[in-house]
Amino acid sequence: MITSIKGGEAAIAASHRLLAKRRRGDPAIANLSVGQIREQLSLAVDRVMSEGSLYDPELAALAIKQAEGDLVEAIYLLRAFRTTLTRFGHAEPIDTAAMIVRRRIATTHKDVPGGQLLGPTYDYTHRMLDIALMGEAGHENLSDLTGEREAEDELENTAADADAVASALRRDCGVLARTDLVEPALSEAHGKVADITRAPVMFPSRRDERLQSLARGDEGFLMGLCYSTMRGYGRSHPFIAELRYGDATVVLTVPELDISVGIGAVRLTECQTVHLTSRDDSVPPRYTRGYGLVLGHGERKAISMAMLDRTLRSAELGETVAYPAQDDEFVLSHCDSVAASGLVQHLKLPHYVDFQAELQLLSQMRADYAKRRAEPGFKTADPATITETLGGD
Amino acid sequence: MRADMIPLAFRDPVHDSQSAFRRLLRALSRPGTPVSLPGPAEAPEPMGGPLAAIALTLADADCPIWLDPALSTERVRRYLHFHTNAPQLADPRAAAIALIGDAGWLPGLNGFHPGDAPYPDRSTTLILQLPALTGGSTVRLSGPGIETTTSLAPLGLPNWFWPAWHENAARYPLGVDIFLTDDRAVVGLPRSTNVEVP
Amino acid sequence: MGIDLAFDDHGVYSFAYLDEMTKRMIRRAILKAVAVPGYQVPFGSREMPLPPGWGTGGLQVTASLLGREDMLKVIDQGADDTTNAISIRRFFARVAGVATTERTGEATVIQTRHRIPERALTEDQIIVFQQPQPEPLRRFIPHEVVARKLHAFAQYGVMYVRLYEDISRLGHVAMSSDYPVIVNGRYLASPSPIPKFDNPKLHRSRALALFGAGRERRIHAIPPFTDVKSLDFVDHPFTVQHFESCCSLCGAQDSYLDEILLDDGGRRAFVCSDTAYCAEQRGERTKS
Repeated sequence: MITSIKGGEAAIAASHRLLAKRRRGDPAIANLSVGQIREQLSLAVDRVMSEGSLYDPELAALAIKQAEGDLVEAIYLLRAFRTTLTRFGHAEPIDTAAMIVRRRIATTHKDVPGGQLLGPTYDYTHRMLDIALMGEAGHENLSDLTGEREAEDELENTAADADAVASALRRDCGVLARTDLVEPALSEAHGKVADITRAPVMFPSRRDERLQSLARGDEGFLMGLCYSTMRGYGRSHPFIAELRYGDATVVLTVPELDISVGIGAVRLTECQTVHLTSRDDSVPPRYTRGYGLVLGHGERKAISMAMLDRTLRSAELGETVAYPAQDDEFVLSHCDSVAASGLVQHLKLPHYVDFQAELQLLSQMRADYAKRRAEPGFKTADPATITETLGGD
Repeated sequence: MRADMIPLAFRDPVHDSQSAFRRLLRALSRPGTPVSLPGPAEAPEPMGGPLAAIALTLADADCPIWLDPALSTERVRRYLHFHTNAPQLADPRAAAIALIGDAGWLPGLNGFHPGDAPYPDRSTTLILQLPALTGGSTVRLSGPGIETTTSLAPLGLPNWFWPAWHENAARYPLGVDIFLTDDRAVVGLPRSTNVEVP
Repeated sequence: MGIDLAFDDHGVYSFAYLDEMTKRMIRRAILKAVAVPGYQVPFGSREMPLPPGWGTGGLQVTASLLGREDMLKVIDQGADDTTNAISIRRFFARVAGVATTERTGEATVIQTRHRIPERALTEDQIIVFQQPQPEPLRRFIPHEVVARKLHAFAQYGVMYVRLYEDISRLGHVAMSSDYPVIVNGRYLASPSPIPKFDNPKLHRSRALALFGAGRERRIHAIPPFTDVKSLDFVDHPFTVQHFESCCSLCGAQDSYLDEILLDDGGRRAFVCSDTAYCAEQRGERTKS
């Protein structure tokens, strides 16, 4: 006797309990607090805020805890929360020239106005496991440095930061100020800015849509594409004209009151690249720009974003679109980790109805094949003509 | 009530607009068949209940609207601004929804956006308020949503209307969609509907 | 899904999860979709608490439709008791407090993945399809810009060429599910990955059909009494799957059957994929 398989409800409930148990791990080990994650796994928090496109270290830390450290899952948790939030206004464009800079490098010159500031970076660390961290961390006295996270919302304190400089950096300094060599940045007054979280991107895409998609895009995917342009699928080797990491004020203009108020500070990484461009005959050879901006500290992502911003301008600049990284549909349609992870993992859903349909198709194809084989003069088909059948999703 | 007070909109915005939407969906999926559509408790003259309900259900800051001269009163404009925050445009072609209180003012349907060939959805939807949805001369409708044919006899449409609708249907999939309303019901007229005038 | 959000706190989440502005945007898109049957209307798909590719398009359409008076049925592979169907049904029971049913006849809204119920739908019902890929041309034309042009001018030769290549090589069209259709004589559309067995049910159906593709950000619709033609050729008419067996549980000979493997020795049996239909045939009382 066959009975249809029931009990899905109980199975789901049990699965959630197993998750909760595994999330907690050994109860003899202290429970991990959201505060610990926020303070001590800050780069994970930054990535989740950046790709989750919501600036909230506390909730990002919660998402990381809830997802057992699976950052793609945590990003998705934060996005699903963000999408329900009411919009009460649009901030003014962030002025990164007024950033409280914690790190700033320009690679085109040995020295640039405003100076180089190494700041916190793993760039020059030796990647050797630090056994000292196995024990209770914090042997070294770091009290002379102001905390990386402390100054979050207290703008007035930041002036005293030993590791931050409120220098008078302009948006374009160093090579970017060479207006004879570098294309001008697009003016801010460029019509209504798109919002990809509310309206889908239409192709061919606009630059604001591309930058927003890239800012939320998966770091690994963007980095791989960016790498491909450097290795032979794009012949690109740009220069990082400016890479900054620091705090910037978010300003909201209240139209009813006609005032602008600072509503808080966000930590950002901004990257500007320059690319030698000579293909467009309408203007002299020059440097064109790429721009990357991410929430939190994410240099790998900001650089990848800037380079892809530039490759995706290929059509606009009259270049042949030949490589994946130049194709806006290819890049933008596939860079979102929430969408990609969802579709890839949907293969775990039952597909027995489509499989059944395909099995029937297969048996028909096999029967036809046997018939053809039995015919006189049968020749084996060229393998290249054997097509993949068009199954379900 | 003081003259400068803005009348209330839906009592229960979430559930009233859900109910109104389902009625609109039903009207558009069954062209020509009137569907009752309760309006908000009060709406400024000359907005009828169903027309007000449609505006409250569909319009918001992302959905620019256009008002015909009959509806272009200060009270209607303030009411819609307060309750929907929809941009009120002067150019009917740029509007997603056109609210029309008196079809007699309209020169025709060509002033509205018919959509673009790759994006026929970028068209204007017209909400056309009439004295009554019955009692006029009868036309016969056919097309998607209609099992065989259905008849419709709205009162107060200008003479040019059905010939203009014929042109509208002929440029399918481009074209405008229309909701006809009176003081209690709505009739859907999507661009896919063909009309025969006997 | 491992998510535990405070849905009962209406200060945080709206009725049926989506905020009212998002619902309005989706509702406007649905109305356009109904007005232009088979045309894929772009919409600003949101992240949902279930992953894209798992039915977020259907979920958003359903969330924009549902009201307190609705009776919701959710099926996956035709069955009410598959884990994904249960998960989605519970989601709506939780965020909208909506009544749910397994009986096809009782439902006002049916959300489905990969099947259309065997029992004919009525004009008081709306069926919402979860759709992974709404663009039938995407298989040959990866670029949206190109596909959109072909739709604009109804130039579907490429699709017919592809089908005819199958026929000339294999003697039949090698597509068993998600078999493309022409809606209202104009738009080439995907019926979602239903087996082609279900395609005829779309033709002049009494119920409104809405298709939501969340990841691809498109909605399309087939209104009631709308012509839906599965692509074919005069000398190779469209056919649906036929089963040699009947259902081992209810004996139905007219339903789509799932193969059940009884052992590793190749013993097989078949049962109705539509669990509610099967139960109805057996005269069983199903859960309301």
